[in-house]
Amino acid sequence: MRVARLVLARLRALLRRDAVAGEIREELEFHLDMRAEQYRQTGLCAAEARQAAARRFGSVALIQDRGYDVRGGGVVETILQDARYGMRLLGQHPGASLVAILALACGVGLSTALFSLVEAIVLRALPYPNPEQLVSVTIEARPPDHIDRTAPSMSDVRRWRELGRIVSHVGTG
Amino acid sequence: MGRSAKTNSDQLHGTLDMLVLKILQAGASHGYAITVRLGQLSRDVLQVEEGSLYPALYRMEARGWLSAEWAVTHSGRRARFYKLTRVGRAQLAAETASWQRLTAAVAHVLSS
Repeated sequence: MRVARLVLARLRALLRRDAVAGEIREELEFHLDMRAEQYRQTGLCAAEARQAAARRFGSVALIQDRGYDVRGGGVVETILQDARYGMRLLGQHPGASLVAILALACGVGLSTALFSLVEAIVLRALPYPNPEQLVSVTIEARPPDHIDRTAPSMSDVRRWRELGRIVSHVGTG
Repeated sequence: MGRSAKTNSDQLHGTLDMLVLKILQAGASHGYAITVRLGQLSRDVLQVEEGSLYPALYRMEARGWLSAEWAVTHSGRRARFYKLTRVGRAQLAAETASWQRLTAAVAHVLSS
């Protein structure tokens, strides 16, 4: 309820900025008038009374700003202002804007593509149960002068699979 | 004015909220009436720059301690009237209690 009222007040300030600013002005104006009236009753002339009231009040412009800081659109309004300002600047320099936007687009595209690649090759786990226990097996034959490496034969694979002692699963690839 | 007035308003800054809440406890009131009442109750010892009351009012309104609406005064002018909410009442009670604790402790130290 309280939050809803606060959000409504902020929203109203966003949509009707002048209304909120005007309300603050009217409220401060009322105060100054009342104080001046009180001074006038003590015998000051209208101008002096007004001056004395203003002195006692402090800077109206400052108070108005500080009041608007609390009652205005707040952070959202500032962000919107920045966004509008940004769009205007982009519009003023279409060439530079186009280059900047293209550079950003290329950068984002390239990063995404690279990440997809690295993710598929390096980061994603292999599609086997307990991939951290995976080993690859090659058969080495060592005649005197060189080493022959070959993949295990299908009959080896079948035997390991039946044994199920050294390895729990056997696959080929 | 000058130096002493400034010190006064600095010291007052933290307590302004509490004083305003206290004044509004007696009933809804507009900003000008609050300053008049503040002057009467404190026998003009407490003088703030009157304008600084308004940002404080808006802040308390935003926190839900006060609710505000426009109404017409006796003299027929539109003014924004502030009213204590339930949350504001609780806040006043809490601030009053902690203020009394603080001043009692300070008085105790000063009189030792």
